[in-house]
Amino acid sequence: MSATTSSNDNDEDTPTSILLPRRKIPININQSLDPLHPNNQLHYNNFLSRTTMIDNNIMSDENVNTSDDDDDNSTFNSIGKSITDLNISNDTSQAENGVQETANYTTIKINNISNKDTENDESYEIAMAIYNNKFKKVTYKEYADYLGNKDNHKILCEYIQLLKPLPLSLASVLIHLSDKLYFIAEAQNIDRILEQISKDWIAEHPDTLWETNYEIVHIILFSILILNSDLHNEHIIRSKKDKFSSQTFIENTLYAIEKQIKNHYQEIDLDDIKHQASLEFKQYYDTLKNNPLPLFKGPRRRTMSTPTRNSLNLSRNSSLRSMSHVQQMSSVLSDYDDEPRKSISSSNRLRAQSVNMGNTLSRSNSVSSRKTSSSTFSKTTASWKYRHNQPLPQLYIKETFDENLNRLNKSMWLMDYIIKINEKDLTKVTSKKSNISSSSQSNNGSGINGSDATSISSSTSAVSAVSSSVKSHSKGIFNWLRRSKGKTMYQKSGKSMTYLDNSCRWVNARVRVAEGRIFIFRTNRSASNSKRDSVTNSKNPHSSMSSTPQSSTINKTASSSSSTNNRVFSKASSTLSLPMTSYKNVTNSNKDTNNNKDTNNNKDPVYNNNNCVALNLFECAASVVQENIITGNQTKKANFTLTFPKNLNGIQTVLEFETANFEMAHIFVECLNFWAGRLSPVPVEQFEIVSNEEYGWSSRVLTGEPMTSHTLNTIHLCDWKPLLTMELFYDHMDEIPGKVPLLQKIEELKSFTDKLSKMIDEHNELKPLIISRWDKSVNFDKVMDNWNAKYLFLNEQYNKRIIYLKALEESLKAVEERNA
Amino acid sequence: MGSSISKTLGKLFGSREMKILMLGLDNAGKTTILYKLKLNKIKTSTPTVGFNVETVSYKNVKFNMWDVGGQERLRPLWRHYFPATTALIFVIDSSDTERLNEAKEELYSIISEKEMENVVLLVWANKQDLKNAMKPQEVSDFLQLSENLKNQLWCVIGSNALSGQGLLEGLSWISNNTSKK
Repeated sequence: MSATTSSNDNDEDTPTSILLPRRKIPININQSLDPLHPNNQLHYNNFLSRTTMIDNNIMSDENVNTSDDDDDNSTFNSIGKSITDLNISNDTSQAENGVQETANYTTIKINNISNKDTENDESYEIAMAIYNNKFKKVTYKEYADYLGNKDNHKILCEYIQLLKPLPLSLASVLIHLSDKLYFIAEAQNIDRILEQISKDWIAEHPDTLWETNYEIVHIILFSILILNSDLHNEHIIRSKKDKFSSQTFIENTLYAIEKQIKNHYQEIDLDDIKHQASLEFKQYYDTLKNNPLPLFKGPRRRTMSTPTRNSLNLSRNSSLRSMSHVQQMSSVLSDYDDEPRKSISSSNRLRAQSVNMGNTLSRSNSVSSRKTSSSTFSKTTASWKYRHNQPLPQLYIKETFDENLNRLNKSMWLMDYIIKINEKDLTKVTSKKSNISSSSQSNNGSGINGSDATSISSSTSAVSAVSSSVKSHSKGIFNWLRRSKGKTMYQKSGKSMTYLDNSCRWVNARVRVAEGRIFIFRTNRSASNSKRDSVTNSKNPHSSMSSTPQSSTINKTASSSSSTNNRVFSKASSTLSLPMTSYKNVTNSNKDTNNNKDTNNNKDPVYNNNNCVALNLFECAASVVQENIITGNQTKKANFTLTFPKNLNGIQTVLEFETANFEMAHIFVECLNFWAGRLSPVPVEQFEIVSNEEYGWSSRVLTGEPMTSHTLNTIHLCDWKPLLTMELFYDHMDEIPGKVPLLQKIEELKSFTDKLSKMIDEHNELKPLIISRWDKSVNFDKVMDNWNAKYLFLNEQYNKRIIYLKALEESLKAVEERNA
Repeated sequence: MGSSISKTLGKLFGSREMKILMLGLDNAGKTTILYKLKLNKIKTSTPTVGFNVETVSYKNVKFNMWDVGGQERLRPLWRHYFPATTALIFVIDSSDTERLNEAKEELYSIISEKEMENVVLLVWANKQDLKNAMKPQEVSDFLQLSENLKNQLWCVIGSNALSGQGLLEGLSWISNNTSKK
């Protein structure tokens, strides 16, 4: 760096606007040129190939002397330095504009530059940067994948040149490599790296057993690497005898080599050298047995550690669009690491002024966030977040009409009333759910299996419930594995028909259905009674409610539904006025619509958040009981059930509610189904599967000549069962797959239900044929079981999707009516 | 979601040892799938130089998913290294119709190896979220699995590795069809 450095540093203060237009050279030509660095002197060309033609000439003239144009270039020469120098400080987006301008100005003498050399030099630069761990485009952990990428072959070649001399021992070659490079990568990329190394190794060591057969060296290198994984990867859990002995390692490697020789007629006689090769492999085995290949721990950071540099790098990189830009930039930046401190800070100062912050994230960022997302999983249930006042993610695509409708109580969008819930269910969801919020799969099972002891103890105090829920995160992860299945059919299906059971106890709970979730607030018995009395005793619900603005909607809907004149509801509406706001303080999704109405009700004993459970409505289905079951004793009361999808143990949770009348139950059900339908993705995957499994109705069985009973008896029949789906995890989900707008969802559901209905018809048509073909076979029962299983599944899906479809179509009508 | 999937795998595969190879052309989505299936690392183990291996282990449940692959000459190697392979997962980029042929050749060259004849084959027709993606039926027709694989169980499932759709379905299919071995 020398004399030019200081002169250029001075030049940085020269205003570009004065200097450049005079020469009719676009200002922001090339941000990546760095004439300051001696290493760059040889490799200027590589920066030039894509962006700057003018500079190309200048620089090539200066360094490579390929230009034949003397006059202009010599005058440009000194200016060129200052141009590029100044350009370093320019905003990159400007620079891109500059590039375009440049293209207009300069079609001069592109041919003077050999493109090939340019590419090679660029590859060398990047390889060098990677070798020195200064390459910024990807993190050092991704270097191996980068090098192995087939688009970066030239860089790989250059990189391997830098590793030379390669040791004679192939194990040492790998040690040498993994000592310099974080060598965990995708198999294909590993493959390419090792192949190139083997070519270079052969060139360097032509006198080994393998002569010039790089393919064989490639095989050996790969084999050693697999051996390393096999011996030392802790993730591979296997019994000791499964681990490779040196004997198997030798045999397997020889086998692969033998195949290679045989298949490709390579001129090498393995038999002659088998013994020697075995000894060689044995050595490799022993080397690795005791010492795993070293894993490169990452570069030692020097100047990189200053925060300004880091943020600068990020923003600069992110504001770049084209790959070549990023590469060039990276090499420039890495070169700066060797710069004197002073020039870094001065150029930084200049850059910082023009750096455009807030651009899209660089790739490395998004990758790292993807990696961490899985580890931050355990506390993602809605209940947990809700109790801890954390924002709940929005589960659906919000549309314009949602804004108002989400606040309209007693609609498909919002239901918020005190109704009755089966006490057993309530205990189940409010206490057990909380305990197992780390694993939704287990909650249903445990509740149904009736561990009453826990539910009682945890219901004593909300605080204990929460603390235990936190505790259970750590060790509860595998609890569900041990949990046995339901003991009886009754327990398994979870369909306790409480409404037919006179001994069941119905208790009050505030049930709020909103924005894709159901919130059930458990009422503390004694506290709620006194509280409620105090409110209702005022006998003027309107006055008490007018204290909070939100309550007006409830007030209105409550009075409009006064025809129901049910005590529960009048109470409900009056008590609701207070907790409504406390609820709103903590839900994120409502914040925008109901801002800052802090009524300080969080201490309300009746509706403490800790006593609430928030459940996603994915794949749920609600129905009014009395629409299906007509009992003798006619009452005004109505029941509805909410069915959650089955968990891993096949246990299904059904919550039962009682309302004062049918209308109420009906609206609740509509609301629940509307949200469930809106959230639930249409599960096309299950129905588009193509497979050759034999369930008893493949074309080879049903068409053509009937098979003999012997053939039928020996056919391997698979059990038909529905495949597991994401349903199992919906309670945990922050990000919902396939969120679509309402209208699109309706379309999807329409075509899906059509398809299902066709499938059901087709499946029905199969039945007589199946019977005729199979009835004499011992497999008859199994085939019919398969047929039934699929039939039930199709029907279940059809019924649920039809309910969703209807609910969504209803909602659309409601929107249209409202708009009209 | 990742940790839940790993928990599910335990349930899926019971007290069995499953070695699953995952193959496919580059850019088919294998790595994304591995990330999606990634386990909650309870004990932090030191990473090992070499291949990506994902494992879940709890008591008797062992599930190893290897991202192996590479050129033809390397196949005899990994075939031997995983003698107890239960299933082969082949990932296809359903939107990349230009390379489907290449993928098909790759698949057949692997599946026709003698050591692979008892392995169940799951094809993930990945990237179903892309508009031009081929449906599983189309992929299956193109691969001509029903014509060529007579004695082997196979299955094509549409998947979207980004959202996780189809992944569980595929693994549970493997589980359903290997339990008797």
